[in-house]
Amino acid sequence: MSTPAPMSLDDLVRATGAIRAAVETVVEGKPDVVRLSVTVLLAEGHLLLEDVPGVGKTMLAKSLARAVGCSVRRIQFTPDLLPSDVTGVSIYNQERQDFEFKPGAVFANVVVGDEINRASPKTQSALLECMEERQVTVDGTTYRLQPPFIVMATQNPVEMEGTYPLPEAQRDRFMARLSMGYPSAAAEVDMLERHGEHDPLSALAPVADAELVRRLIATARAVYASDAVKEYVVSLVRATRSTADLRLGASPRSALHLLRAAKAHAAMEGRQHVLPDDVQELVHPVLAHRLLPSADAQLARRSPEEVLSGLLAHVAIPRSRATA
Amino acid sequence: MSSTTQARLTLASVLATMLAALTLSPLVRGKAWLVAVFVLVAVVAGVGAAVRQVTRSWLVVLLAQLAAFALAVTALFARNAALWGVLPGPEAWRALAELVRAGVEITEQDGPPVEPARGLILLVAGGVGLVGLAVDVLAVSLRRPAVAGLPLLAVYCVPAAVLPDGVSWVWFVLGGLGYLLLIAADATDRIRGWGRVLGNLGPDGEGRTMSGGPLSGARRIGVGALAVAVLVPPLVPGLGEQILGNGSGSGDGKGNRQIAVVNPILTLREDLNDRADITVLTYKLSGDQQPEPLRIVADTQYRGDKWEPPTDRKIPRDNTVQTQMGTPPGLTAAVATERLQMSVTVNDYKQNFLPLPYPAYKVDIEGDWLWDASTLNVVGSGTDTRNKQYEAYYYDVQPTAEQLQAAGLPPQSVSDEYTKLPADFPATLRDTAREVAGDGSDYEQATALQKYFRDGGFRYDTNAPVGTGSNDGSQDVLVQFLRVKRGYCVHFASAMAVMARALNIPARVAVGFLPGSKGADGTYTVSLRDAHAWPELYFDGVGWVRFEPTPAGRVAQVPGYTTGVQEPEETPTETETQTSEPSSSASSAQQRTGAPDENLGPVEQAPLLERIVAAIPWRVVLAVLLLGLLGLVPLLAATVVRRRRWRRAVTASARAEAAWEELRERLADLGVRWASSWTPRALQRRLADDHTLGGSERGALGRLVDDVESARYMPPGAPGRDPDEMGEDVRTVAAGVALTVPKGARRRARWFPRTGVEVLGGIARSADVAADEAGRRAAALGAQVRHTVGVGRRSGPDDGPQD
Repeated sequence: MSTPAPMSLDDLVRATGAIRAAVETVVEGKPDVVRLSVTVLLAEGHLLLEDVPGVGKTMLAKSLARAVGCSVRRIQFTPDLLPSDVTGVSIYNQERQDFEFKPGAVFANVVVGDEINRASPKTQSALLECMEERQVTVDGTTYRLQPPFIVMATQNPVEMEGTYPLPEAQRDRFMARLSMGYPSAAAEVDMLERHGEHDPLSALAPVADAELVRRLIATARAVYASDAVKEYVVSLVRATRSTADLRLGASPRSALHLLRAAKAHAAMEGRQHVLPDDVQELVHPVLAHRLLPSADAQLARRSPEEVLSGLLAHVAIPRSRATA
Repeated sequence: MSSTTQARLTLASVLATMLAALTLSPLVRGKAWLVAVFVLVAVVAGVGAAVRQVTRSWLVVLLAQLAAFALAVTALFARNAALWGVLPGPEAWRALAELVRAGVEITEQDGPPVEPARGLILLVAGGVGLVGLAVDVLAVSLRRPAVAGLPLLAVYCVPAAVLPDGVSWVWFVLGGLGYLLLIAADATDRIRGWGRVLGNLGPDGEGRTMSGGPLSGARRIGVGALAVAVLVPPLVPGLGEQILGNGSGSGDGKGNRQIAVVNPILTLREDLNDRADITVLTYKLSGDQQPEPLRIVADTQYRGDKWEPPTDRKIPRDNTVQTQMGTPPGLTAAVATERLQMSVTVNDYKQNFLPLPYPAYKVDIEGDWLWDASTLNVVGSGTDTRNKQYEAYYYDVQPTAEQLQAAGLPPQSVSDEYTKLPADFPATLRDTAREVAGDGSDYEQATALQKYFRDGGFRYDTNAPVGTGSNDGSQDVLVQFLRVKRGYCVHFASAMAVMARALNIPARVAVGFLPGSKGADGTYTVSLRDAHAWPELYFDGVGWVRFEPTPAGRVAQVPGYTTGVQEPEETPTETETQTSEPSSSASSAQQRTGAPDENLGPVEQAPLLERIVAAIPWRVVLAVLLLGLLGLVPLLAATVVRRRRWRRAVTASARAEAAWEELRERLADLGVRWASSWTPRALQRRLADDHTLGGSERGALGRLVDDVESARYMPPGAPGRDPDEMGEDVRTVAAGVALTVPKGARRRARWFPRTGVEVLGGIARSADVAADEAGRRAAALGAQVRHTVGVGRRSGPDDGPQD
């Protein structure tokens, strides 16, 4: 597979705009959420959609998958789901007298993992390698996953019944966590109207293909991040580790994710360089789900989001090196 | 105009002014005045340069320069009368006016080169300082250096007009060079304004090689013109040197009327000029009393080579002579006094001191005349003696020899002031005084001194006793006088007064007129030739007593003196008059007690304006002004820091950061602060939300945000904008935001910026840190020394037993 050719930022803005518009025909009144999903797609990250049931998590995942016109696989995670259901399994083919690899659900460009925290930790872990290394190893054979590859997992809040909380290691592998939130009253009325007549998802025509998405990703990756921005990302991430409100701060991988997401964000703004504003925009979705509040913060009912807001207000914007 | 241009122009104008001032050097002796001139010119230029950093209004700059000029003049010339040494209160103005008057008198009286008396230095330095101010305003503030030549020319005109032979070409060339420098400094910059000045285009000389830049031609023309101006006139018949020199025209436009002036400052080294026989004044006595010498002024300050009137006196405004004058100091009721009266008519004689017999107690005269309590000098405030008519009431004090003989120790205040002698007072004079005067009472010593001068072989000579020995040491004049025994009244009076002071008898020198000649109708006529000086010595209980050490023999050498002149020269009248009159002494005592009461009265009589001026609490006003000036320090600090930041920013990104930082400061000054965690865009949004900015301000802010983002977050190598434009944008935004904040905040930002306060705080902190550091190092060093010493001490006993 050859490296996809980058494209102009104008084209990127146009293409992502089309994708977003397509998704928004299904998921109404949530432009920010849609935008963030596309950002994560461009940043080669994985998306964790967490909210109460019935607010459209799966709808978002499915419509995004359909809009980009890539191969989509959906896994409904249930307590009895086995790891091999995710990764695939080698079956003995009697005709050819050989083991034959039956790819699992993960072999797709877009993998929609529904209610991922309903599966057992063992099955959840099966996703780990796929998500991070973009490859699957079954019976000693490694199979590469085709880019683009994005896991869009939905989960109910951990307090709900019948859930296994995602392990920290796996949470860290998701680039961003999104919360759908209830739609506004007007959007809800609108939704009733539309979804009553027909299924908008089935009417959604793809506006992109895998090749285009690969080129979008390559373009976003080429966005320039100055030393000042990198310093800013690092100082933000380090601040989460030193604050007394957090038991577990953000990992170095999260810094990487944050910068990649910021690049994608900048690209979608049509900018060739990252601004601290991009970083600030993405701090909450990228970092919040990885943080564990300290006992004090829990007692004071300070959520990691609030702690992050406090950090954002205190970490100084680095100036250019020349005058520092 | 950039700050470097301003600095260059300022330096050039200082240089030009100083070079022009040099042309005055043939007029004044010594070089001390040059220092004063330089100080004033430098202060004016320096303050101008500093204030220009803050404001662009040349009027503000001018006002600041004037204020600084006034402060500097006060500090230099009227420190004693000023508040806290520099603030010019009314007393200081009066002292300065006095000095100016003295200076003007010197210029009217003496030919060049004149003595550098304080008054004259004030005149010269103040004048040149004002010229420097004018040059600075014209050349730097208004950027018209060519016009600045006019004040410079005015300076040059003074020696050209005064010196009989004109000015030496050297001074002309110096003055001209200064002016050319000033113009060159300006022109260089103007040409730079068109683009880069190309210097040497290459050593190969291909094409036109401009060896000295585009100005070299102009320079050549300027220097050439200067050379032509110097060289051509002597070669052209008829022109002669008249362009440069010879400005006679000393007439005052009123025919040959001459105005007589007696210098109140007695300069010992000067020869007595042949004084014109001008009638100074005429007077009539009310009765048949003996005429008394008319004293103009008592010189109290002995400066080694001259006697000066008291300059540091503060005379209250209500000491008017028209009511009751103060008691003659030291006079008690025991001494016989007689009240006398005389009417005086002054001719063309101009003086600020009123000629009066001593001690006068009241004068009926027009105008504002004030008396000084200690000397009874009568000074005109804004008026002079010219063509005045007045009625003088005075005492004839008639002490007995016994009273003088029995005089006790003078009061401490009197002996402090009137026995003061310079530190380098020659021992010869002191020794001679002791030798001549013997060991008697003060009175005996005084008469012995007088006898020494009158009968000790002294001869009257209008030439000052200098020139025979070294004439640079001022004290030597009197030493010389005692040696050669030749001099005129000034030397006799000075020598006697100085020697009396050496014997701890309070003494001063009176300057005035001899009684003059009596006409047929009983009117006395006093000529300028009757000008005279005599010592006054203080005896407790009697007060100041006139002595006459000048020998009678001089009458033969100075024609015009009449017999009346000789009268006081015979012997001191005081020693002879012995009649006592209880009635008049009683009135004297009564007058003494009455005086303070009457002092309160004349306040109503003072002119309204003066009363208002007197009522202003100057200390408060000046303190407020000073505080105001101090309050401007943060503004200055902020401006300096900003300028330095811009100057240091050489790369595009550094300039963008400088602009951003300045915006941050200016907004912080306005009370709009932004957190360090705000991105440029965050600030942009918030400013747009919180402060309704106009279109141009939004545009400016947007450009600034782009600049700083490009500097910080874009790949390096972008060219960046012109710093002037960025500065303009910063000011635009700040001005836009300023409109939306309360007036108070705006005004504070303009005049008392927080940035400046923070800068000062930063300086203070770093000084603190430095002091800490120094203390720590000192402690470490001390510890080290102790350690070393301690080791040495410890090793001593250890070594001992081993040995």
